[in-house]
Amino acid sequence: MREGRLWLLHLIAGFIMFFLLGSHIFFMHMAGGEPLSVEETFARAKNIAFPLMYTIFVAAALYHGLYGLRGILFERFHTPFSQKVINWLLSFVGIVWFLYALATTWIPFFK
Amino acid sequence: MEKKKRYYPNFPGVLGWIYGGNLNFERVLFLLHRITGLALIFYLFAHIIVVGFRAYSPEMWEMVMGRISGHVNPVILFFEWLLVLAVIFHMFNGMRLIFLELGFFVGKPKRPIYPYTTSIDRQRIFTWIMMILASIFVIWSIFAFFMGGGSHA
Repeated sequence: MREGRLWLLHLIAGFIMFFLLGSHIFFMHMAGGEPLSVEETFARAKNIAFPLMYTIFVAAALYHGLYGLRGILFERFHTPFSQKVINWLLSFVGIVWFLYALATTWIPFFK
Repeated sequence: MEKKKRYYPNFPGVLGWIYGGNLNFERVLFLLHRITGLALIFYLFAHIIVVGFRAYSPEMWEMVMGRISGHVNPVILFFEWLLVLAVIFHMFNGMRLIFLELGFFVGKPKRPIYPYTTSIDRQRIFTWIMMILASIFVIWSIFAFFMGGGSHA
């Protein structure tokens, strides 16, 4: 049951990412225009929708990506011990990266 | 007590992603989905760190972007485009997988009467539709990256 829930969360995160990653790629990399200065990106982040959207985006991206990586690693390492190590390691990496990204996203909003 | 083996006896390894089973269209998509997925997760780690420079040290951000931005180096712009290709493919193939895993576009169950049909045949139209949609975005990305200014953030 637990595995089923994790898998469903992977699907939900993927579905969310389809729209959030799609808009990220469109607005940041395909809309064209000159590169923004640091001040301009800070001004953009003053709108609360921006850090809020990116918080959800990063959480979904990290979960989706690390769950996928976990699946690939589980194919090779399938003893209970090695899977436990993989679970702890990927959870640790995911939480550290998420906290770093969270601070990155919200610092411009509060500055 | 029998000790559990460290890996499955017929585990084909990473090369088995290619040669395991029939190398049909869906298998190629599976392989590409894995490769692009792995590339994207490792890129995501690097991307989060680099974007973090902007908040923690704007001077460092300006210095890094002055070296590795697609605006200053066409080779990097090309690799950025490859990354966007990976994103587009992974997005559309992933959406296909979500729909199929939830049971959409596979048709109703049938009795196994000869000549047998497989769900692969029934879902392939949907697969082609998703790949055509992905191709449209790929063509758009070529215009956006190499004829219209490319990335800006």
